[in-house]
Amino acid sequence: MSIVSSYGTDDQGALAHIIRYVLPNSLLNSLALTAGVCLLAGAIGVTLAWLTVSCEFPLRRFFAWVLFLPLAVPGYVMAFAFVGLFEYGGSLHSMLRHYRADSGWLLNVYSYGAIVLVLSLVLYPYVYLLARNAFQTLGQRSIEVGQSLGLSVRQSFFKVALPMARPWIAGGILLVAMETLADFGTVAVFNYDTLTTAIYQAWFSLFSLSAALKIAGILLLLVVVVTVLERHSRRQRQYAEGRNAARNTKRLQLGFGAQTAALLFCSSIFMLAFVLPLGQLLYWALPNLSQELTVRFWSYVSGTVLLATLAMFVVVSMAVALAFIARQKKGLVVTSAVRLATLGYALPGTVLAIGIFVPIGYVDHWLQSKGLSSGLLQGSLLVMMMAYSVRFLAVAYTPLENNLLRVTPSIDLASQSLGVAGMAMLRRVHLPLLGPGIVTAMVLVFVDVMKELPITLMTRPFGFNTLAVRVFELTSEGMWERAALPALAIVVVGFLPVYLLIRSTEVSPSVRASK
Amino acid sequence: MIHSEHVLASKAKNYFSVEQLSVGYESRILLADVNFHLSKGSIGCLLGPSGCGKSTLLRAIAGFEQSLQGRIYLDDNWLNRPGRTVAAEHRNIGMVFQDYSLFPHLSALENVRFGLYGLSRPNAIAKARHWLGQVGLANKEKAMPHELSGGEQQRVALARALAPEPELVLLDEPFSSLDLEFREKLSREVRELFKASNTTALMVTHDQHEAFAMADYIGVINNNRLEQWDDAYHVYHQPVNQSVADFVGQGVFFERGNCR
Repeated sequence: MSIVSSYGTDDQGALAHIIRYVLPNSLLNSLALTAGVCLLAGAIGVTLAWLTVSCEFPLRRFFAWVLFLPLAVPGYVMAFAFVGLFEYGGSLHSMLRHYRADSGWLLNVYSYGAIVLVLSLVLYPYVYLLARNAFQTLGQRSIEVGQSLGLSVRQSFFKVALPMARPWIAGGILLVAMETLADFGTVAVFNYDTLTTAIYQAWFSLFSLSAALKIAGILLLLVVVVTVLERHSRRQRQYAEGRNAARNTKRLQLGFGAQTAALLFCSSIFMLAFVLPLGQLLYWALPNLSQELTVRFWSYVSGTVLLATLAMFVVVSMAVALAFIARQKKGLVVTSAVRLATLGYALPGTVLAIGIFVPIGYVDHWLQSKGLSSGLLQGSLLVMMMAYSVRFLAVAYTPLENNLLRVTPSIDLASQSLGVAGMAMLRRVHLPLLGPGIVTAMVLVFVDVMKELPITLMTRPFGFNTLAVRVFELTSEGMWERAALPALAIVVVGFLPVYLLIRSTEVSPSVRASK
Repeated sequence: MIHSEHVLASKAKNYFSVEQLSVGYESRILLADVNFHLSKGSIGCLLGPSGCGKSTLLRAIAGFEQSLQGRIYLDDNWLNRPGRTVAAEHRNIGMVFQDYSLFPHLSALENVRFGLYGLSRPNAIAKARHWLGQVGLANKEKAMPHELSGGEQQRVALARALAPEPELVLLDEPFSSLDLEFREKLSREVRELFKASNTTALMVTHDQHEAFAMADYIGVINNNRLEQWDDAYHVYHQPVNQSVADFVGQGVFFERGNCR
């Protein structure tokens, strides 16, 4: 709201500069980047999903789940690992030079193409996940229908399954678009100017809040368009949600050549998106381990843990309260309130940070006029918690909602008829049933806050540092070797939610075996 | 309401009785002026088409729903009187739900143990085991509800309702989601179990077969009222009016002198 209202105020000098020089360029860059990443991440995600669901080749099951792993790597980490790999004088150049091979063909790491590649490698899992879902459920069934009508497996995939999966693929690509528009850390590493970096610069370099607000308004407009499209695609795929995967999956038997190609494609994506960047981080971090594991490093860890734990409790309690209210009272008001509350996930962190800062600034000003000390709220943990709550409430709410659906009204009655009501029922029935959902929600919020960059960077109290902020500071000064250790710490903790995700989608071999 | 003589004769030792009860909403009364009673250890059944209000009546007896008027009396206690009702959790009435409503996070044994919080842990476990054995599931203690078949879930639900030894057990369409063949077998078993443990029970169903297989006393609900309440033999052979005869006539009467 404060962003919309900013269009009345004015702040001439900086504003004119930004509108003339910064805005057109960063707007174009944002759009070009989003288009490129959507195309590439969409292509990678759909191809991998099709290969791992519908084709048979060696190591298919292994790839089916390891291809989710890049989800654990935040964009800004992948970005500087890539710079280290492909930079002139970086690891790959040196290695090729060592074997006297030509290294000129390697990707120019500061090009538009490199940024698109890095973001696509980080974001393709969204498309992969949704496309896999689609192929596994309605895809398999439609292939059987196609076969019964005389089509081959291959024909029925292209004629039936792929067109039917369109809403899922579109949903995945729109999520990628949302993340790309909101991305701040990755483009910052490449010094590529987009709307998010423009907001940051307007605020921190030019100290023009009104300019920052105006850019945020434009970004918000783009995000709203994408969100509306995403909701639309979600409605389209409602009709088939909740069906179980077909039991005996029919897969295309590939010939030797095609098998090799499939294997090559899957492993090169896995190498590029996971093995190489992680290897680069280890290569940097291990030799300096003793130097880097200082008191300072642990102070970043404790800052991160403190912040993420606090946010975890705040956000998850809010989500639990919201879930119970939504269960008790089913009405239009409550439903729309829940929808509104969980919409915050679509807001880019940079937009959210200044959107929350402005009203807080007014409140502070008012407090000051009442004789209280100035800056009481600005840059306090309270502001951060508010911003995190808006951004991550949906993350915490979704697993809770799924668990609460299992508690049918007659379960409450069954408990009452056995003499257990009120608080005892909450303790013995509701909380145990919600338990797994609460744990999932806590893990997701903890890790998301830990990885989160723009909100933390822009609203943190002075001198308060987290691992993510540390990585950002070191990479913006080009000190990649030293950024590797905090980045690794983030990636390692980031595996937790990926593990939960893999377990819930049941692609992991261990889950299959236990059934 | 027409009672035959032997029902009236036993009124003195009524254990559970419903008097002038009305259920529904202020705007739409589902059932008006319902009167019937059961002696200790007998099984009653309310029979009627879907949507006639029989489930609402059962829920009012359980205490999940307010009755509009009338009184319910169980083992020397008024459960609801004008101005005062006993909360569902204090009525000591067990209930078996149509969808079984087992607690999905608890094993079969833990489900049965749920209502035995007044006992020490070993005693509660021993008692839950006993009841699980009574319904023939001694070997499924550790199974989670989703691992059990529909019939097994039904038996666990039954054991859970019986374990706290309630003064009355209510069953809401207890066999409706089972196969026809299995339904008859289970209803016979449940009847034997109730008789062996001297349990007083009231069930509702729209299935005449079930009613006659299970119940000592049957009430036929039609046209927003309880048209006849009588023992199974009299409901079948001497229906009070044409609509009762039509509804019951589709059923089959089991002779079961040897069952008591």
